[in-house]
Amino acid sequence: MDSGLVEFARLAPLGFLVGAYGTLVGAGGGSILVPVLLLLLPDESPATLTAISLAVVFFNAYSGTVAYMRMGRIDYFAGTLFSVAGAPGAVLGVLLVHEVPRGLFEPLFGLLLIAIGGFLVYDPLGAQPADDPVPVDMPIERLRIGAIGSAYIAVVSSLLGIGGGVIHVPFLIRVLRMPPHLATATSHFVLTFMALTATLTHVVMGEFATGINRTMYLAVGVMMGAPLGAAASARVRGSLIVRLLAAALCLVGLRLLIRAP
Amino acid sequence: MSKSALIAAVVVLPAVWGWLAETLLRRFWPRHLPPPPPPTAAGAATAAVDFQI
Repeated sequence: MDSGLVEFARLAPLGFLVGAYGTLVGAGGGSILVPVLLLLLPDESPATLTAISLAVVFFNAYSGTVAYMRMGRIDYFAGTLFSVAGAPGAVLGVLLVHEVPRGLFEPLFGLLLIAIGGFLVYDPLGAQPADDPVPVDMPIERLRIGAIGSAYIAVVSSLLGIGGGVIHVPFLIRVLRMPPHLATATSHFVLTFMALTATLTHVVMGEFATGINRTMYLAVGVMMGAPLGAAASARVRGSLIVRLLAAALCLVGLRLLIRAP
Repeated sequence: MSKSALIAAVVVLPAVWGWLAETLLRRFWPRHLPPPPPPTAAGAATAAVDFQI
């Protein structure tokens, strides 16, 4: 059988699962996809893996953003501000990942997964009440904190190849006190531009010379799986699923820590 | 770019750029917020879908 077809048969279903489950539990595709890629592709560099992941995250975030635009839930001012603020950080994160060897990347990512998992166990965002407070104009100090915070989150997201939503949404809700229905939509909007900036930087640095096919196979699966996850999330109890994901993230994090040299 | 310059940029640039972006954008763009979600059962169901990060 054609090797491209074999790879498509292997990666598209994986993308489908990542898209559906990531959307269902609200933890994003990147934080699930990167550990899977680390286990599936043991010889690839962190730069290649994060390039693939960020491109897939871009497609996922883009399709989600279009849906949120139709719902009119995006705070465009805050979204534009945080996107502009995050752009240099996304580029810096890509430059930084080229300096990080795989032996350091894996334990770093393992620690991040355990931290995210611990946070989600403690405070699953899917359990947020639906009756959000009426949005109020954000004070200038909070906007400034949001812009600076988003800039640093962009560095971390781009460095680790995750979309960053799993960090950005709690930041918007807890630190900036943005109503959850605005925070999730606005974060999606911001992630689209952060992931696009990081992906374009990877393209310029030649990281997609070999990985473009794999990225497209995964993206096809993700874009098919994400709507299914969104539809299922209306019927499934959010907090339980998020806690299950948190446990899975902690286990994978431990696995990466243990096998690190 | 050397490693030390890159690390310095990672530490300093986001803070400076974030502050600058906020200052400039706020000066040239008055804010408009989207409306709050409808306080109905359908609205609650839609909000449950929203936790996609």
